[in-house]
Amino acid sequence: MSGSQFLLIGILLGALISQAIIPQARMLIITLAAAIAGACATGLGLATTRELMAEVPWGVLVMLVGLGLLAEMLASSRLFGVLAAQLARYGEGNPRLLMVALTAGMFFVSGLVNNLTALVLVLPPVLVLLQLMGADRRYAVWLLGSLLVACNLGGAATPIGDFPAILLLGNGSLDFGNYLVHALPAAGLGLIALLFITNILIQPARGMADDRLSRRLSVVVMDRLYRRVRVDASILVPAAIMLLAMVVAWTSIPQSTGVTPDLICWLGVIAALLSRARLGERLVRTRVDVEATLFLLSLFIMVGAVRHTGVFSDISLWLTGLELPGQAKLAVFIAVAAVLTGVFSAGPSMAALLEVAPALTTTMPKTAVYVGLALGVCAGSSLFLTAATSGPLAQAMTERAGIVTADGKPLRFGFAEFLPIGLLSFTIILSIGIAAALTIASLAPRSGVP
Amino acid sequence: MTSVTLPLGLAQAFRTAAGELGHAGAAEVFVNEIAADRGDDGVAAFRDILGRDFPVADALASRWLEGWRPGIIETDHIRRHLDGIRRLVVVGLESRHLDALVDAVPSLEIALLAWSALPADWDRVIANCGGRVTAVDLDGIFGWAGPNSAVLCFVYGSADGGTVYAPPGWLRLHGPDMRLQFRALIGWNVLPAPFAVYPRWFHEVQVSDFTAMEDA
Repeated sequence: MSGSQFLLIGILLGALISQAIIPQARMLIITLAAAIAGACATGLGLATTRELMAEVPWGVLVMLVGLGLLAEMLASSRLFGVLAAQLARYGEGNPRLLMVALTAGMFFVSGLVNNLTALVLVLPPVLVLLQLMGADRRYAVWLLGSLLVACNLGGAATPIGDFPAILLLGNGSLDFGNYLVHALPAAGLGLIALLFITNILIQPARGMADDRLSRRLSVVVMDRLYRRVRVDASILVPAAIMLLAMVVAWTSIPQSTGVTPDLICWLGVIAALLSRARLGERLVRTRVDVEATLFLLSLFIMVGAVRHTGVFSDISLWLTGLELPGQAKLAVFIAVAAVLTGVFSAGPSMAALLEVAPALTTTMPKTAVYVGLALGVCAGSSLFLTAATSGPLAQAMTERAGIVTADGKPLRFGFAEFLPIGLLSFTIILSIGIAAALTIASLAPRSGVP
Repeated sequence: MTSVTLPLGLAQAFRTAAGELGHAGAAEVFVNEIAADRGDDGVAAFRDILGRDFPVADALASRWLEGWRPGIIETDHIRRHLDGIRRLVVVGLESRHLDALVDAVPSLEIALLAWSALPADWDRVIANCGGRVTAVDLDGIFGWAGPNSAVLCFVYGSADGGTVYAPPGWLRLHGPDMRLQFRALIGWNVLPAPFAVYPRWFHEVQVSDFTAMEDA
């Protein structure tokens, strides 16, 4: 490894590790590291900061901001709160039924809006429900863990569900329809497998006191808490219509026309916000996710600087040079993506692995490579509570709710509590991801998938 | 003490419900459901277990055991005090009473003081009011003052001794200049019954602090 490679990779890894150790200084660390990476790349004669900035996939950032705003608009319609209350009602206070209903609901919501938004929308009513049910510790931890994994799976199921998929769509790696058709069934299968294994083998509700009064109280109180909350159709309808129009445009307009997914997103989201101008203006002024945008911008600059050292080309050469069949290389790539994501989180892993992925697409169908990559990243995001930003958020929300479990002790939902769920989910999703990618690859000659 | 057992975690569930339904509103729900499932012995057990921590629930359960049952919320007596009033600030939260008031006086602009001792999701509380109620904080209340404005506070307890119990928000709000800024200060007594235990969560205030006091 050359000195410049060592230096710039060191800056990238140092920043990622430091921000994980000192999360309260996360943004300062990452933006400072990006500036240092830019300075080093300039000083070493690898690339100027202007060049690094020009190489940033701005379309991805536009989509991230745009879809975030659309999610805020959907949230303002109160759709998700009403949905969560309906699911709780449907579950009739039955712990097992509730787990299935809420997990499936989270998967659905997370497929439409980014993971953090999905969590912020769905988790509060679930926490209220846990307070009302008097759930035991084991059940509460498995329910929250399953919701988190469902959130990751939903995010990977659609091209607009979470950052890795948005990145694939935004940078033109894969088109909307192609991603959806292949990723959704795999992610759905992952959810079904998770629910099946959890409910049949692990049985989190086993041993929980099944009191009819407790169930009845949780349903009645939830009903009262949402007694007159109605979905605001004047917000929901234009937002839903524009989302639908964007999906139609994403699936029907070829990128070769120059009308790229980010442009469609930009136009669609602004049109949706204009339909409720006062709300739209307020959302644009106050609800843009500046933290996520700055974090990714800094990351792209650091990864761009590393790219100019040639390290990704070296890794690509190593990968293509492995004396393994193409399908085995693909499986290794997906497994590496999963482990890297588990350790470094989805953003950095995707940004780096997207530089390597094209090397595989010379011998394998790109759909198999990118869908496999997205599912590998999803598996990694589900491994540890710290692997995705939604994990610490769920932990903070749970602690803030101050839930007391049936044994009278405060509910803790931290790294150790999540680990068994994480290991199970990681195994399930990674296995399905590899199987899905290999199946897509083997069927490609017949199906004509690119 | 009774031998009937009630589900674990009842206190936490009640606390959650009381935060957004009000102490009396939550107590009505719990007593109603417990009575349907475990009978009067269950209601007595509920009072024994939760009464000390939630005195409104204690008083309401006692009334239930004496034969009282919650009925439809009447608002006519409150509406009489609202003649000529365009804007109303509500202090304290009792969801059934607030819903009834919102329905009964469609022309009234209503603000709810979004502040209480128990945690509440105020966005959800407001969303239940069909766009008729605005959340307001302590600083914002005096923006609602004026000759056509009034304050309505939910209070509890027998007024025989010249005092009732008001939520903490009332103490933060009430001062000597308040009568000058609002045309009426109305107390709506949700539970006009004596308390067997001191009503924590609430504060004893003079009935004379209000320009009108009505029982539910």
